[in-house]
This record gives sequence, structure tokens and C-alpha cells, in this order.
Amino acid sequence: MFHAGRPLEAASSARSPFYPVPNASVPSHDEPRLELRSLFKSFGGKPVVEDASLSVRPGSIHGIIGRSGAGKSTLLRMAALLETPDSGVALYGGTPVSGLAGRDRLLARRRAGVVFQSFNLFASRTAAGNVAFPLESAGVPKAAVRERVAMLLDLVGLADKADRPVGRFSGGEKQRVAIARALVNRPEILFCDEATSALDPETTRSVLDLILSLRDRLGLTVLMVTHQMEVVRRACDDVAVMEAGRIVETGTVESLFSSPRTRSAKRLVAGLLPLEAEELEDGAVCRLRFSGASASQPVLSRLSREFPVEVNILRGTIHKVGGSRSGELVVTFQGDDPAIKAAKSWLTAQGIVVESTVVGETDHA
Amino acid sequence: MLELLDLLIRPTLETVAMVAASTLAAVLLGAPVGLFLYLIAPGGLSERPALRRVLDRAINALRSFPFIILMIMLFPLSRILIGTSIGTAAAIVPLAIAAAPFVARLVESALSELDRGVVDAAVASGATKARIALAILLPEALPSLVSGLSLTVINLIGYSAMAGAIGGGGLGDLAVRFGYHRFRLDVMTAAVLVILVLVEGAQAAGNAAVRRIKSMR
Repeated sequence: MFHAGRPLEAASSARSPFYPVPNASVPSHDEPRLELRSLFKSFGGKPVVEDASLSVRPGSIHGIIGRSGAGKSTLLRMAALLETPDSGVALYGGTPVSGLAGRDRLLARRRAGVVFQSFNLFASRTAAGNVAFPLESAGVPKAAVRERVAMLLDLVGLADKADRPVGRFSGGEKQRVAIARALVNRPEILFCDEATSALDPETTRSVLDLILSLRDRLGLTVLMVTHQMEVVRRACDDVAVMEAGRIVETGTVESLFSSPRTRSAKRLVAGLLPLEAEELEDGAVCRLRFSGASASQPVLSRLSREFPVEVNILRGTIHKVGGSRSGELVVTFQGDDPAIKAAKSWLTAQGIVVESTVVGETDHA
Repeated sequence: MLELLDLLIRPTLETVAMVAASTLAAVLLGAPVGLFLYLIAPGGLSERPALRRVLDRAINALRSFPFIILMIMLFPLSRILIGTSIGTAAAIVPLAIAAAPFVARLVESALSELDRGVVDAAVASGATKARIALAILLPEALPSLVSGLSLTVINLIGYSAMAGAIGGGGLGDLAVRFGYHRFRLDVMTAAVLVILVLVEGAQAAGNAAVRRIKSMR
């Protein structure tokens, strides 16, 4: 049986943390597994999605990024057959699925699974009951349901908590149950609507790693809506940037990061936080915390005058807390080790908290 | 004292039977209508705006009818269904018909309170509307449905006392006949106290059931 822990680590470490490598096992000339053709949708006369077209390669994870209100969730809901487009069509593996009715629409929905931001689990059921529902609805015999549910819960690492009511799970566990429920019908496509937006950075990482590993194991094609650039960076192969209801830019994640063309794409890339400390070659990344008087002093310019050390600011924030200012800078020092050491102790003497290792920087988007 | 107890037993049982039977009938009549109202509402799983408006008006009209008038109007129906328009069994007909639209509204509002996302999740799984309604929506709404049920029972206890006053039997009948016509303040007080106990009991049982359901989630 598959255990969640090890293959997940293998899957994530095999990928570059910055530029995910597109799944090499999939021939790129294949017909798209999911295609959206010129979708339009308006609510109350107000256009929400306009002329959105997208094609998703089989086995790839395709991100849709944009700010809130850009129309990305509506686009995903049309693709997932939760919303009917005003015009345009979604195709699964070349078959049009928009505008179907009755049994055909139910069957099309079973070809896709959906994971939501707020998990949307059934509170009246246990974890196993949640995962079982799509199968029960498809008329699968009871014994087969039990077996498949146990397998899926094992796949997401919750085999030991099958009979627990879902209200007692943590956010990350809830999303794992939701992922198992979405995949229990063996769908070809997984839709993730801000699936990690309600989770803390660490849980976000583990859920993304789970989705990556499931993609590899089950040959899924994934469409992932998010407003977090970190999610795109960590999980996606391709990405579409949406603004004001339109897809303004599409391409590989690599091309978006290295040469963003549109203003919104540039803004998204610029808003991205610096790399984690361990990803930088010299380990001299420091977090400096200023508070009270030290926050209003020109400390850094004095530092570079008095010590043979260059300071490179990676990122900075300043807060006003109850009338006094407090700030935080993430910097790298360049210079001799003794000089850097002297500079750091001088900073400490100025009332600044100096932390040498910066961890968990990437997920505060 | 013994005489008082003797007087109370039969009407109390009549009231309990009247309320139980009419609650059951009201739920059977009203709950499907409530579910239907929810499903055909704008944004629901099977939108039918025109039909919805018609049903809405009909339910409001029925609910705004004074119960005492409704009861008199339904005498002929009681006679057809039960064979008489007098007595405890006959009173069940107007009681159920008066409570059914109330139940429909309670069911509709309990379902409307459900998180839209939970409905999305059920829809996305490719289940039929009937299965979504029965296997997900109603169980998810169970706490609100149960507290709505205790509200229905309490309302029906009140209505049944009114029904008693015009020939329906039960505690209302007792209170009016002895307390009002014969100036037996003790009987009237005792009848009112028993009604109070029944109402409190229904409320407490409902609350306990809701707590129990929630504690299992």
C-alpha cells in the first residue's frame, strides 16, 4: 500500500523549487485534456468572464492567477460544470461538456473532481462518508465503495481517521479529505479553486506536494485557481494570468517568471517574496527587527559607513503599532566574516534584533 | 385533588394525541413542499421562478388565515376524511393543514441556511438532485430541522387548545368548559399548567436533540 510520506518527499524534491519542470513523461503534442473555448459569463448584466480560452496539456498542472474579482473562480466553475457559460464551450478530452443536461451532465461531472477553498465537507458524515458520497451516487456496489474509500484515504494519509466526523479535523486534514472525495470517482481532471488559500504556509506546502504526487501517480490533469504566486511557483507547469475577466497572458511558469509581458503579470512577479534562505548560495541572510527608537534612526547607512560591509536589502516592512513604529528588514551582508560579525553586534547594541536564519519566507503572499 | 387529577388525565392524553398526529401529518404535507420551494428558488438546483412565486403566495395566504376561521371552513373536509367535524380526531385535519405551510417555510429556511459551497460539492460529485436532497441536504440541515420541529409542536399545542374550544376536546376544551362556563378556577389553572409543561417539555426535548446531533459532528 502507498504511504503518503515518502513518495511525497520524493516528488517534491525531484522538482526545482523555483521553476517546476513540466511533466516530461507526457508528449506535448497530445490533444488537450481540458480546453476552454471563448467562455463568456456575466452576472446581472455585468461581465465577469470575457472571451476566456485555455488549453491544458494532459498531465500538467495549469494555474490561473489573478487578483480577487478577476473572474478566475467563475472561469473554473464554468470549466467544472458548476456554472453554465453565457456562450463558449468547455471540452474534456475533446468532447464538449458545456450545455449538457440531465444524465449526460452528471456523467460529465464525474469526469472531474473539484476541491474548494473552504473544503465544503459534509458535516453530517465521517471522513469515509464524505469520500464515499460520489461513489454511492454513481451506483457503485457497497463493498467496492468501502475498498475504494479506504484506498483513497490511505492515499491522502488519513487511513487511521476514516471514521471521524469531519468537524474534528484540522484545515489541512479537511482539505485532504476533500481531495480524496474529489478523486474517488477516478476523474481525469482535478479542479482546485483556491484550494490552499485557507491554509497556513506549511500546510499549503504539504497539500500542494500531495496534489503533485497524486498528479504523477494517477495521471491527473489539474486546473488550479489561486491568487498566491507562491502556489504557482511551487506547483504549476503552465499559468494563465487573469485581469478584469480576461486572460491577459498564458505561458509556462518559467516564461512568466523570467519575462512577464503584461503589467499584471509583472506586478504579480514583483510582489513575490525573496527565496528561502537555504536557496541562496551565501547563507548570510539576516532578519533585522526594529522597534521604538531604532526604527526611526538611519541605522543601515551608519552601519555601512562605520564597517567595511555592504548591506543588500531583500525586503522590508514597517508597521505602526500603538503610535510607535516597528520594522523588519530582510538583508544580506557582503564582506569579511569578522566585519560582518562586528556589524551584527553593533546592530544588536543599537537595540535591533538580529536573526541569522530566515525560514518560511516564501508563503506569506 | 384526586378529582382534579381525574379530570385532567383524559384531556391531556387527547391533547398529546392531537398534537402528535397533526405534527406527523403537517410534516408529511409540509416538508416535501419546503424542499421543493428550496429547489425551485432562484439559484437553486432546479430554478422555476414563476412556479415559485405562485407557491410562495399560496403559502403566505394559508399562513395568514386566522386558525379559528380555517377550522370552521375545514369542517366539511373533516367530515369527509374522518366522518365527523367534532372531537379530537376531527380537529387533526385543520391542525395539520394550518401547520403544514409553517413546516414548509421552516424546511425551506433550514435548507437555505446551508453553506452554498456544500451544495456545490455535492453537485460537483455528479449526484442526481434527488440524491443530493436526501443524502446531503436534509442530513446537513438536521439541527435546524429538529429545532423547527419542536417549534411546530409548540405551535400545535397552542392551536390544539383553540381547537378544543370549538369542539375538539383536549385541555383547551377542559379549560373553557370548567374554567370559563363553571367558574372552576382550579381546573382552568391546572389545564393551563399542563399545557405549559407540555410546551416546556417539547422545547427541552428539541434543544437536547439538537445538542446531541451537534455533539456527534
